[in-house]
Amino acid sequence: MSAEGFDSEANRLHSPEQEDSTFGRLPLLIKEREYGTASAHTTCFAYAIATWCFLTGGFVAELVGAVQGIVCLIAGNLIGIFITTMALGLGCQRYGIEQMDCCKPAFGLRGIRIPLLFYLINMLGWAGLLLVMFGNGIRNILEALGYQPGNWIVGAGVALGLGLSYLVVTRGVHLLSLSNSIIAPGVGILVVFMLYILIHDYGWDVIAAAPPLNPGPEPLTNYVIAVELGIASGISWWGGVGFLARNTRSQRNAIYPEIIQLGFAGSVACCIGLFSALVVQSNDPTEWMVPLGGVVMGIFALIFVALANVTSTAVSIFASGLAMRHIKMFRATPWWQLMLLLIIPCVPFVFWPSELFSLGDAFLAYNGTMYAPISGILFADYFFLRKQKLNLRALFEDDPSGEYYFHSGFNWLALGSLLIGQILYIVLYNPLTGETHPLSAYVPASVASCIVPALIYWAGMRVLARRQSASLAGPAALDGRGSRRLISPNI
Amino acid sequence: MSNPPRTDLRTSAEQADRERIAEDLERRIEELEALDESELGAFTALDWFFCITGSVVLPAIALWWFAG
Repeated sequence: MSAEGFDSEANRLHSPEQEDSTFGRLPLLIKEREYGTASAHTTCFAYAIATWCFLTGGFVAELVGAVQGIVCLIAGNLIGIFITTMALGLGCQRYGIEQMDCCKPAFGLRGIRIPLLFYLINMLGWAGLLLVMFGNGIRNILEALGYQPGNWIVGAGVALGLGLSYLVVTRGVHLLSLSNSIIAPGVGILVVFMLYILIHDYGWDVIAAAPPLNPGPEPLTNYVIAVELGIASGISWWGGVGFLARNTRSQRNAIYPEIIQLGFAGSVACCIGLFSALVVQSNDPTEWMVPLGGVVMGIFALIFVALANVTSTAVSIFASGLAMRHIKMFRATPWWQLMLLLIIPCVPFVFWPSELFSLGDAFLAYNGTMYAPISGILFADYFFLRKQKLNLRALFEDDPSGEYYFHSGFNWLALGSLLIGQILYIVLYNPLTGETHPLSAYVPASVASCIVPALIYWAGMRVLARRQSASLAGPAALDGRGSRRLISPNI
Repeated sequence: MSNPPRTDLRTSAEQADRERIAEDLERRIEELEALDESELGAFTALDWFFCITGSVVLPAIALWWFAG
């Protein structure tokens, strides 16, 4: 659930160097960063208010009512954003680096392939869900117009959405930029419109009294899972926080806009989705528009939501393409081929749209499984082990003498801690089966799977550092501060 | 008759491009490492206090309060 940076300054780039740094991995200098306080807040707000908020609200509505849902979404999102933002945000901002590079001190030059894989799963999973929403939107528009298309129309819609997204991402960033400048404010207006209708036509009493859509037998378990979905919703911004922070000029601008806009404003939009789902008694956002706004307004809203979904899908696929450039074999692959390659994992959504859409809440929670341990490890590494000092040169050094090369490019301790965190998460809450451990009533799975791997990693690195009777900086520590030039730049 | 000259040209252009990026990277690393912390705007203990209170403590209290 995120967006890499593409929608900003395509027309302002002046030199190949600036283009390399903005769209590539070169560290951004302070003068090249575009976000001051106001622009950081508006950009984060634009990213936060998107159609996936409706999906998240719908998933939470299955388990709890409006009051508990508000708490789970807002409090959960804030906790999730805090977990993901602090280390990545401050690290990427300090050094102007892309977030996969920021993971290298902990995971190793090649070890970042694991977070990268999770990143792709996150991006393409959201893309698939949004495409199903696009297909559902087409079906519901036709139904509102009096036609009765079969369910095949949803799969056909997914295929159409994939085709449109492919066109957008291969025809240039200016198209994405243009559509984003219209879609982002439009979704904001739609959210306000929906809130007005909900309060004016239904009233808070009706919303608060509406029962959850598909709760389990135990209210506490439902609440625990809803909390988890809220936290996972915040954590799933992991893919975007680095880019946003990297482009800010001050440390405060790297953190506060993400917490306030992605954490708070985004969760308020999720709450509108929650209310709508409860009132209409459906978790499919495309089924809300006609009952809430009437046929004409509903169809307009559906068309708009459908377009917004294509844009968001294009964002996800575009961001995945940028991330793939971290892998050597894809650095020289033509962009259109890379995009085609990334569309392939979304093809199952054409054939099994309903089945995969029904796994959406599990997918949302799985974001916590993936990113909570990574965030904990990064937190321990950046703040407690490296004291906020990275060896910038070593991030771009492929030579085995580089500080972050570890063992064949992998820091197995970090990867082992990550695995332990994931296992712990699934023990406490299994997103696929919905089973929870009694302990999860006291500690949310994502919080536990953030803290425990962080402690293991921290302790392990301390022991290793003592054994090597060297500082954490390792054998090539001088590379970063000294006069030696890069031996084998990985850019 | 054959393509090698074109390939060589492209290869040398790519090589030149890589060298330009590597040079630029070196320049950026030096500039960023020499950057004074004050130029980045400090993230102080008070900022940490606000973030932890607003994003962790208060949400955790709210979650606990509404659990019943």
